[in-house]
This record gives sequence, structure tokens and C-alpha cells, in this order.
Amino acid sequence: MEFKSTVAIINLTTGESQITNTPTELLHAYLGGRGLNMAYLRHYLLIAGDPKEIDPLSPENPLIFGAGTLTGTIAPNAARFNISAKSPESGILGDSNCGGFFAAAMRKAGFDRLVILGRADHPSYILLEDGEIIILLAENMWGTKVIKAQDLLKEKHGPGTISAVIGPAGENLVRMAAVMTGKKNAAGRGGMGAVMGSKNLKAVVARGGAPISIAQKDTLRAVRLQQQKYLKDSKIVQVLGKVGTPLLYEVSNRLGAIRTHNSQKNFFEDTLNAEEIEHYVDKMLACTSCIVHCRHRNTLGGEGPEYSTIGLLGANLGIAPTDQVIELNNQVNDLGLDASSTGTIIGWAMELYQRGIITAEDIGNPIEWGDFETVHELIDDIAYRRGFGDVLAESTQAASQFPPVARDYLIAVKNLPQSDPHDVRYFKGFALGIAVASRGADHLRNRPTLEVFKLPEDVREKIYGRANDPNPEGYKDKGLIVAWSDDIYAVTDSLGICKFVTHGFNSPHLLGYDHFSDLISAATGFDISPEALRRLGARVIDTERLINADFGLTRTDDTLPKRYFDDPMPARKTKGHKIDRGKFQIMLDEYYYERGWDQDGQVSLESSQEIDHLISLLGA
Amino acid sequence: MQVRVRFAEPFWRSIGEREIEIELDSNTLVGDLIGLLTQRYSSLGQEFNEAPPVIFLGDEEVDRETFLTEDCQIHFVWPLAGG
Ligand code: SF4
Repeated sequence: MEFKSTVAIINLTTGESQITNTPTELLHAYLGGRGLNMAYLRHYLLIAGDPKEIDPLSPENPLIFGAGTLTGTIAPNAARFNISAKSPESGILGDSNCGGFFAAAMRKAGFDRLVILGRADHPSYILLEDGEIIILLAENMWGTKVIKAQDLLKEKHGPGTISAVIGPAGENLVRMAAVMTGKKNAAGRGGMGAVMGSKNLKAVVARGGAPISIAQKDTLRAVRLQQQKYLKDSKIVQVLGKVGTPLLYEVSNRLGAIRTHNSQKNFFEDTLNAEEIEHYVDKMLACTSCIVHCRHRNTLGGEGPEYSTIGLLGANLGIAPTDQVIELNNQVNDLGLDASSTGTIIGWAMELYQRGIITAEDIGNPIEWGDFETVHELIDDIAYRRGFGDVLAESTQAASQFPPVARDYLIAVKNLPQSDPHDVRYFKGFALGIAVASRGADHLRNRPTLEVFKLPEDVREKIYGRANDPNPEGYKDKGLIVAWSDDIYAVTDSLGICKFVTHGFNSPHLLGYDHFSDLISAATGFDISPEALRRLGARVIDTERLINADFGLTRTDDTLPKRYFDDPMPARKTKGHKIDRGKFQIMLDEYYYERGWDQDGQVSLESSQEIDHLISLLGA
Repeated sequence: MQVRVRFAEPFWRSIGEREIEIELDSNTLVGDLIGLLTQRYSSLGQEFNEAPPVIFLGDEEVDRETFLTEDCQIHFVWPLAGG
């Protein structure tokens, strides 16, 4: 079987589509998912003009859906795909990874990747079925929330229909709008939902029929069973399957590392512990081929919440009652908003109000910490762009409408609000990670989670390739561990595998490069060594760096929110910690060195030329 | 003296309760408490081996050599920081 990847170039302006295969050399160099998306994104951005000048909400912005190489196969937790574009939220690289069942259905419908260009005249959706692309009118569903839109599409196209939809937030071009593939599964980061909305695209619908071609079925089955056993022996897999990510809340909270009241505080109530969330859990669910089952179905009509949602719609806003936080979780998901950005932006507005930087007169209503009713109303207003909600719908770009000092209280990097609820002033590697992450402040690009385990020296050396300082509060060797994490997470995102089974994400006893190599060989017939896979991860990171350089980013953009440098953490074990500016710059130097970049953070000429060559294979 | 002991995920599953109260002699160390608990709840020792806990006495992280105090609260937490 030949290893191939099918890509559809869909022009919504003309209604024309073209189906082709990714050039083999390019495919081997990036595999799929996030990696290959980056190659296509850079190509189509450069075709559209000067990337700096492209309005992310204009028809010129390419929108790319790319399934991982293993997505939809029986490889463990191979459910995921990436949506990429210029981000309307940050103005730089936009790339969001999502689980659920959509990506497997997209592949079974005959497509590994979609490049969506232009803008439809009328609200529309794309139907993918049996290798065909049909653009249909979405007028009766424009205006619907996420669950309703998904139900309508299922009703219309029958059982087995899986859709990636936007809600009112995406339609109204809210800059933190998500694309949703289920009640909770979200491509949340960077406003990909707004890009869909700007294209008048309500949904991409997949009806998967054909099985995904597998090079060696029996071998893949044997590898899966072997890896499944290995994973099921892992403590973190067992615990995530019981309680999901809310388990992380108590740990961070006890440490004093939960973003609370926009990071003015660092711990909150125990009402958001996993055991309290459990009272509202009806069932644990899974994505395609998942053996963990980390996702809750809650008794209030939605799915989730995740740790991120609990932290950012709970502690960060001062909202303690468990049911209220779950209700907000369900609300943002059904409106198609990114929970992380929404919680961060509302928390920021609350602090601006607390400090008198904005007043009740400016915003219509006071917004006090813990005021559930007002937050609930404000979330609706953001999605529908009403009143002060219209201002916050601009996400970080709302800063231009506030006095300049407002920026000092914004918990964002590169204009992307921080994704997770962990206050990174204590673990210095976490801080470096969000400072350099290619899409802005985000833990899922490179968080060196093993820092918390204080692993023995020999184990650390084996993992990271050389001896390194185990002190998580220190600044030394953090460049090494963040660069290592960058690479492996870029590989899993390219394969479509979930991070919860990825070596280094919460455990050293999960799937690493050697496991991935076995899976790729069995699934595609393409042999790639573990070493070459790591180089592939590095190539993805370099490509993202080049894309961001095209947008004008430099070393000065690799930084942290002002508060993380200036304000010490106020309580508990982390008390007194903040990031030293000078030492941060040394960490950055070390990180660039590990990445093979120069001191300005520029990709090496050799790597840049290789990437230019690879992307040139896509033609003019 | 009375001590409250709280177990986060996954440790409480070995005990069957999230929190217990326990009567101890004064001059008891955290390490003594761990010995007592792992003796009383047989699977807890294995849990602690597989997932070594971080131990908090109130808000302070402590080690096995720390003395417990009257009415204190001890937390056994599995250190994780993913997302
Ligand atoms: S671990 Fe959770 S997010 Fe990952 S594939 Fe399974 S259910 Fe989906």
C-alpha cells in the first residue's frame, strides 16, 4: 500500500473544489495533522500576499482542516485533527487541535485535509461524503447554537453524520470563537470559529463510509494491543478514566498555583475539586479509538467540565458553586466560545473594573468577582456581540478600547489568553513554555509536566538526553526540557494522537517515539525511525517559527504577562515566586540554543532552506 | 492528639474515604503516620510507590521528618500539572 494523503482545495467564493494528493516528499517530512497543516498554511498565506497584511476575517485567510496520520485507525487515542489559519484573536499563527469523532469521519469520507479558501455568498456548509464535496446552503441553521446545529445536520443527513460546527460566537466573528465537533470537543484556541464565520461557513459535515486503508492490519492490531496493555498499566491513564482532568485542580490549588481573580490570588475553594464535580457526572465518554475515556457527560445537559474550564470559569472569576461552573461550561460550549479565552478575558475585565480602570458606566453593569448571573449574561452578550460583550468579543484586542494601563493586567502572550489555569510563576519551565509556544500562551504546545515529579537524575537524563537540573523552581536547563516537549507534542499532533497518552505529558510511562514509529509503519507502510520522528517534530516547530516571523514576530514577543514578572505569588507553597526578568532572558537564550536558533530566535538558514524547498513542492 | 488526613486522587480509593481523623501520640512524624496508614490500608503502600505523593501540612509542603501537631491537617496529593 502506498502511503498517501488526500487534500481537497475548496474555494467557497467560486464553489469549485479540487482533490489532489500531498506530494510524497512533503508527506514524509510532516506526516499529517498539525505538521502538514503548517506547510499548507505557510504556502497559502504567502500566495495570498504579505501575511502581516492579511485580515484574518477576510476571504484571503486560508482555513485548513488536517487529520493526523493515524487518526481514525485503531492506534491508541488516534482521534484528533488540527484547524489552522491566521488567528483573528492573536493576529499570528492560529492552530487548534480537537478530538471527538469528526476527524475519523472526515478520513472515512475520503479526505485527510481540507484547504478552504474564499467566502461563500450565503451561509453554507460543506458535506464530505464518499470522496465527494458538496457545498450546501445553511440558511435554516444559521443562528443556531452548537448542539442544535449538530442535531439538525444529523437529522438531515442521517445517522453516522458527524459535523464540525460553529455557534453564534463564530457567526458573529467573536475573536475567541471555537469550532465544535461535539457537545464539548472544541478546536478552541485562536478563534478558528470566527474564521469559519467570516467565510459564511456554518459547518463541515462528514459522512464516513470507506474504511481507512491500513498497510499491515494484523501488525497494527498486535501493536495496538501491546500498547493498550502498556497504557492501561499507567496510573495516570487509570485515574483520568475515572475522574478526567478535574483531578488536576486539587493538586494545583493545594500548591497555590490556581489562577484566581485574574492571578491576583493563587488558590481558591475546594468546591471545584474532582470529587465535587463527580456529583454531576453521568458517564465517562471517549473519542475515536480512545482507551482512556477522560471526558464527562454531565447531568446539566452538556459534557465536561475540564480542569481548564473549572479553573478559568470558576476560580479565575471567583465563582465557587460547582453547579454554576458546570452551567457556564455548558453555556460557552453551546455558544461555540473557547472556554480558556472567555474565562481569561472576563477575569481581566473584572480586575479592570475592580481597579476603576473601567467603570460601571463604561460597561453597563458592575462585574464583581463571583457574580454568576452577571457572568452568565456577559457570556451571552459576548457571543451575540451585545453591549460590553461586543467589546470583550474582541478578546485581547479589546485592549485598544481601554486605557493603556489595562494591558498590564492581561494574562496573555502574543495576544493569546493563557490556556490553562496553572499560575506559571512557580515552575519556571512552565513559564518558559507559554512564553515561546508558537500560538501564544498555551500549555499544550510544550508543557514540561514531568517537572512536578522531581524524578531521579538518571531518569531525567534518560528522558531529556543529558543531565539536567531537577529543581523546578530554578531557571537552569529549562530550555532543554521545553525544547524536548515542543518536539514530541508536535509529533503527536501530527499523528492525531491525544496528549493524554503521550510520553512526557503527566507521565514518563506513556507512548514515545519508538511506539509511534511502530504504529506509523504498521498503519501506512512508511518506515520512520524514532530519531527521524523527533527531527520531524523539530521541523514542525521551525515551520511555525517561520510563519510567525512572516507575521513580524521577534524575540521580544517571547515574553510573559507583566504580572508574572512583577507580582509575587501571594500564598501557600508558591508564595513569593515570580519570574526574574534577567534570568528569563538566560532561559530564552538556552532555549534558542537547544532549538538551533540564533540569539534573535531566528530559524537556522539550513532548516529554513529545507522548509522552503518542501513547501515549494506544493507549486505556485 | 487528633489529626485530620485528607487523600486526593487516587489515594482515597484505597481508604474508601476522602478524609479521616486519626488519634496519634504527640511527637509523631509524618513518616510514622505513613507507616501506620500503609499498615492499616494494605493497597495504599502500593499506591504511594506507584505515585509518590506530595505531602502538605496545612499549606506547607513537608517531608517524612516533619512532626505533626495537634489538630493539624495532612494532605496527600499526587503531583500533576498537565491540563
Ligand atoms: S483521553 Fe480524553 S481527550 Fe484524549 S482521546 Fe480519550 S476521551 Fe478524547
